[in-house]
Amino acid sequence: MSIDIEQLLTNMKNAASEVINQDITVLRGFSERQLKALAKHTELIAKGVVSGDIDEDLRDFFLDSLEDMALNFAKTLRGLLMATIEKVWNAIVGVLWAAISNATGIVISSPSID
Amino acid sequence: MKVVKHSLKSFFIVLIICISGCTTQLAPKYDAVLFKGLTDTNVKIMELFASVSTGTDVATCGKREGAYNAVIGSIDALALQSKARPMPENSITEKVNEYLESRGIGSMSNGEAPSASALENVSKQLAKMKEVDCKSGLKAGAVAIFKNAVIISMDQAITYESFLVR
Repeated sequence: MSIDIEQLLTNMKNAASEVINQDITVLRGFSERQLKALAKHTELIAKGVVSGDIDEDLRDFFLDSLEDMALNFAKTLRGLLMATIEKVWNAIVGVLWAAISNATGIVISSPSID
Repeated sequence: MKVVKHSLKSFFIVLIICISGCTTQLAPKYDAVLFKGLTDTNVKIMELFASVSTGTDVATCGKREGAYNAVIGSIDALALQSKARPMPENSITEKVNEYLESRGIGSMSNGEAPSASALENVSKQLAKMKEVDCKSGLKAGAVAIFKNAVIISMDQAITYESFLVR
């Protein structure tokens, strides 16, 4: 039995799209929450300085932390993207694996990331 | 000739199977115990913030010291748990890291999950909050900033860890 290349391409695209569509919602929600919270943080620090609720020492502490939090936001986003890439990669591999199984008649167990 | 053709066909089938079998792991494994610890500790932290939302008096700091120590201890333990988990290493992440470093950008993972550094920031915020509380008392404005900083970092840690379910 030969492999239908057109069908294989469609299956790979569908497998990748399913993962991407699912993950993009989480990524978008996370980014929006973080950006809003970081903007709010900047505003709170400014208000705290003006009102006198935070002194110079605390102001410097919060400004340093703001930088760390922004950097870690980027690192977290990168980590989330890596997990998505992994899922897309493995979904495509799963489709290829199934196609080979069907074409050769060899029973191959589904690949696992473990 | 027939044997050669048959051998070539077999070779390509084996080759395709090998390539397609190359599933990969680019992110660490999901840790259900760590995730439960995160969500449980998050509740305790928010309870602490609720109890000091209007500000604090330095004279009553002793009453809150236990609560501070409990949540800081939990967060430090969770950060350690996150760090202790092995990070996947493979040629893909190595190549991406090489590319990023060649452009002056930090490597992708630095060998630890981003949740670990997020939790370290939570610990830092709570330790500073306790210090200020017991030294001069906290104003409501300062509590609001500490709380927002903790929310940002806990969101990073919880979102990342929950995303590892796959």
